[in-house]
Amino acid sequence: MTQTLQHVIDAVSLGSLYALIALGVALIFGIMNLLNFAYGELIMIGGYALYFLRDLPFAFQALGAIAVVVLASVLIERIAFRPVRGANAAVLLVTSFAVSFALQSLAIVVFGARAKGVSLPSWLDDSLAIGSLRVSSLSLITVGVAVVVLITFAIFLKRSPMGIQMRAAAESFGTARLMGVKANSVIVAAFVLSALLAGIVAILVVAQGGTVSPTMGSSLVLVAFVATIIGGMGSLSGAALGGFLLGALTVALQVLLPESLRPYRDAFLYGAVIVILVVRPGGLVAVRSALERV
Amino acid sequence: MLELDGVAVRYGRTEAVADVSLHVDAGEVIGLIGPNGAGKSTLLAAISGQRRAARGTITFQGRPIDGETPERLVRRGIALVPEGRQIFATLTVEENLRLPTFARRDVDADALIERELERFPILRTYLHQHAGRMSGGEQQMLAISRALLCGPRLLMLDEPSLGLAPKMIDAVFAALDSLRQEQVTVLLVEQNATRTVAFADRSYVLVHGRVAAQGTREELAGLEEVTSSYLGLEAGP
Amino acid sequence: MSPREALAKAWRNAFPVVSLCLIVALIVLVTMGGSEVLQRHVTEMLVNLVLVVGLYVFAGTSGVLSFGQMSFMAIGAYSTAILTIPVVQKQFLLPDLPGFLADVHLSGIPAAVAAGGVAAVFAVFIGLVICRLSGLAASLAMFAVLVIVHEVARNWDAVTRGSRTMIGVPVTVTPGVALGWALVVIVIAYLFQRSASGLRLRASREDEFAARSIGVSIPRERFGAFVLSGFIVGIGGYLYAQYQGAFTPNAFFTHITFITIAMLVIGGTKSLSGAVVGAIVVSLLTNLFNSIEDGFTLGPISFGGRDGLSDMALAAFILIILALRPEGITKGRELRWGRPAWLKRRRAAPPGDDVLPAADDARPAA
Repeated sequence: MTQTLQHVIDAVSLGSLYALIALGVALIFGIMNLLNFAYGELIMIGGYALYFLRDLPFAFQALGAIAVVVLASVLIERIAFRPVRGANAAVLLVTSFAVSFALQSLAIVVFGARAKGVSLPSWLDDSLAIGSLRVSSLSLITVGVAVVVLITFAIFLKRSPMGIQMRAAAESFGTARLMGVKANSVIVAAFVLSALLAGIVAILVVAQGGTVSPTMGSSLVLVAFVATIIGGMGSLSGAALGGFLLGALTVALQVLLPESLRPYRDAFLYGAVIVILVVRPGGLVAVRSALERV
Repeated sequence: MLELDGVAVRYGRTEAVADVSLHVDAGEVIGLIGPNGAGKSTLLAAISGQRRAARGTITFQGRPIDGETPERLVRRGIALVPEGRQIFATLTVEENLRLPTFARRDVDADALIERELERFPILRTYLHQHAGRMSGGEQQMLAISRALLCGPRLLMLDEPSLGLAPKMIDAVFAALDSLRQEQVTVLLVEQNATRTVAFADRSYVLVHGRVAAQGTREELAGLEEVTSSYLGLEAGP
Repeated sequence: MSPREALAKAWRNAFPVVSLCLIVALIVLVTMGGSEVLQRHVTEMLVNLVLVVGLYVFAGTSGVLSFGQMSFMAIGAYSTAILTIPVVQKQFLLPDLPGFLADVHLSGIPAAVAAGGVAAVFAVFIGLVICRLSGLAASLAMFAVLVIVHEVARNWDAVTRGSRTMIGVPVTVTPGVALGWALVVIVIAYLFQRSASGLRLRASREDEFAARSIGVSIPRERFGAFVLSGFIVGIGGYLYAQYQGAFTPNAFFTHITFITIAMLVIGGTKSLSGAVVGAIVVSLLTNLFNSIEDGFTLGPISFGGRDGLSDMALAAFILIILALRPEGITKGRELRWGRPAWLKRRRAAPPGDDVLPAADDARPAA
C-alpha cells in the first residue's frame, strides 16, 4: 500500500513537471503554429545559468536564472523566428530544430560536453516522513509549483488584456490583427511566458538530477510536443493534461515493466506515444479542420 | 478620405485585382458589387493591410498605406468586418467586444461597449457566453460592433449579408443605416447588387478585377452592367 | 514524334540525372590524387549524399519532414556489422548472437543489398503506422522512432554491443566504392521520382486535396516512398559502417539527423538536385568551418572543440537560408537542359508581396 502511494506521488510529481513543460510549448504553438524544438534548450540555458550563478544565494540564483532564460527566449524570437514568421509548418519546424542544435553546440563549445554538477539548497530535495511514507520534498514542491503556475496562467489568460489578446490570436491570428492586436506584442509575450515556465522547470530538473549538460533538455521536449498534439492543437489545458498523463505513464512503465525490460522504458514510452498519435483524434482533428477549409 | 489609384493585387501569379481606381469621401456610403471572384475581397484585404498591392497606390486621409501592418491601420482608423464574420468563437461576447479597445488610448471602454449593447440588444443576452453559440445573424451584429469598437473613421464590410436569413439581412441594413446617420464612412462589399446600389450613395461594379461601372444609385439603377455582371453575362478580358 | 524529337525529349528527361552523376563523379575524379585527408572528406561527403538522397526520396517527395530516417541508417549499419564481420571475430564480439546470425557472412554488394533490405523490412512495419498520420504527427512520430531505435541499440547488448563501440567491421569503402553507390542511388531516386508513384506523391505534396480528388491514395503512395527511403538510407548505413569500421549508437542520433536535414533544406527540399547539391555544399562548408575553427579566442572566451563550432556555424547557415531563401539553393527545381533562366531576358517581376500568407488562420496544414 505504501509502495503504491509512493508510486502515485511519483507519478503525480513527474506528471506535474511534464504538464509545465507541455504548457510552455503549447503556448507558442497555439499562437504561431511553431513547435519549438529549442524549448528544451531554454531549459538547458536555465540549468547553465544556475551553474553560472552558483555562488549566489539561492533566491538570486533562481531569479537570475529565470531572467537569463527570458532574455534568451526573447533574443531567439527576434533573431531566429521573426524572419521566418508566417512561413509554412516545415520551415518553422526545421528552423526551431536548427536553433535547438545551435544552442546545444554553443553549450558544448562554451561549457564542454560533459555534465557539470550543480548543488541547490538541500531543502529542495529532502526526504520527508509523512506517516509511514517517505516523500521527497521535491515531489511536493513540484506539484505545488505546478498547481500555482497553472492557476496563475489560467487567471492571466482569462482576465488580463494580454491574455485575451493571446487567446484571440491563438484562435485567428489575422483577425486579431484586424482588431488592432499587435502581432509582435503577443508573440513576445508568449515567448516571455514560456521562458518563465522553462526557467521554473530548469530549477526543478536541476534540483532532481544535480547536474547540467548540453543535452538535458532534448529528451523533455519530445514529451512536450506529443502532449501538445494529443491534447488537441492549440488547447492549453489539453496540453497540460497530456503532459500530466505522459508523466504518469512514464512512472507506470518504470514500475510495471519487468526488470530485464526496464532499460527500455523510454522506448516503451515513445512506442505508446506513437500508438496515441495513431489512435487519438488529436491527429485527426488537424485533418478535420483542414478539410473544413475546402 | 480613401483613394485607390491603379491598384493591382496578386495571389502568386494571378492578378485578382488588375486595375482599380476609386475614392471614398468622408460620410459617404460606398457600395462595391460584382460577381464571385471579381476581386472585391482581395481589394478589402489590400486596404486593410492584409495583402500588399503589386501596383498602384492606396491613400488614406492623405497618407499612403503601403506596407503598413493591419494593426497599425486600425490605429489610423480603418476597420474591417471580415467575410464570414470571423468572430472569436472561443471568447465570450464581452471579450470579443473588449478586444479592440485594448489598442485604443484614453477611451472609456465600458461606455463604448455599453453603446454597442444598446445598438444590438441581442448581444447583451449572450454577453458572458462563448460567441460561437450565437446564430449567424447575431454573430454578424457582434462583428459589426466589434469593428466599431476599433473607433474607425472608415468601416469596411465584406459581404455582411452572406448566409443570413432575409430578416437578419434587414437588420444588418438597418444597422448600416443608423451608421450612416452617425456619419460613419462605410465601404460595403456585397453580392446583393440591387439592394446595395439602392442603399449606397455611390457604387462601383467590379468585374475581373477592374471597375466595369460606377455611379450614384440613380445612374446605376437598371444599368446593363449591374444586372449582367450579377448574372455573369459580362464578357470580360 | 520524329526520332529526332524523341531523342531530344529523352535527353531532356535524362539530363538532370546525368548531370548530377557527372558532377559527383567529377568531384571524385578531381580529388583522386589528393591527400588522404582529402580522400576521407570526399568519402564522407559521398556517404552523406547517399543518406540525403534517401531522406529526399521520402521527405522531399511527400513533403513530410521525417526527423527519424536515420533510424534506418542505424539498422543498416548494425546489419552490416552482423553480416560482414568475419565469423570468428563475431563470436568474440557478439557472443550472444542467435544461431543463424552468428554463422552468416556476406560481403560486397550482397551485403549492402542485404543491409538495405533489412532496413527496408523495418521500414515496412514502421511505415504502415507512420504513413497514416498527418504531416506533423508523422514528423514527430518519426522522431519518436529515432529515439526508440537509439534506446534499443544502446541496450540490446546481444546484437549491438549496447553502448559499447561496435568494432571489427571490414573497411572496404573507398571513394570509388562510395561513388559507385552514390551514382546508383541517384539513379534509383530519379527513376522513382519520375515514376507514376513519384508523380502522384509529389502532387499530393503540392495540394493534398486536389490529389485526393483525382484518386491518389496518400497513405499508399507515402508508404512506397517510405520503404524505398528506408532501403537507401540503410545502404547509407552500410557505407558508413564499412567506412568507419567502428561506431556507437550515437552516430545515428540527433547529430546526423540534423546534418542530413540541413543538407536537404539548404540544397532545396523538393528536388533531387537539391539533395545532391545540399550534400556537396554543406560538406564544403563544414570543411571550411573546421579549418577556420582550429582555435581562436574571442575576448575572455576561448573556443575549442571542433564539432561544437562547425555545428553552430552550420546551424546559423541553415537559419539564414530559411529566412532568405526557404526553398533552398535549387529552389526545388531540377537541373535543366537549356539556357539558364538568368541568361534569358525577362520582364521585371512585379513587387507583389504578401504581408500575410494566403491562409491567415493559424491552423496547420496537416
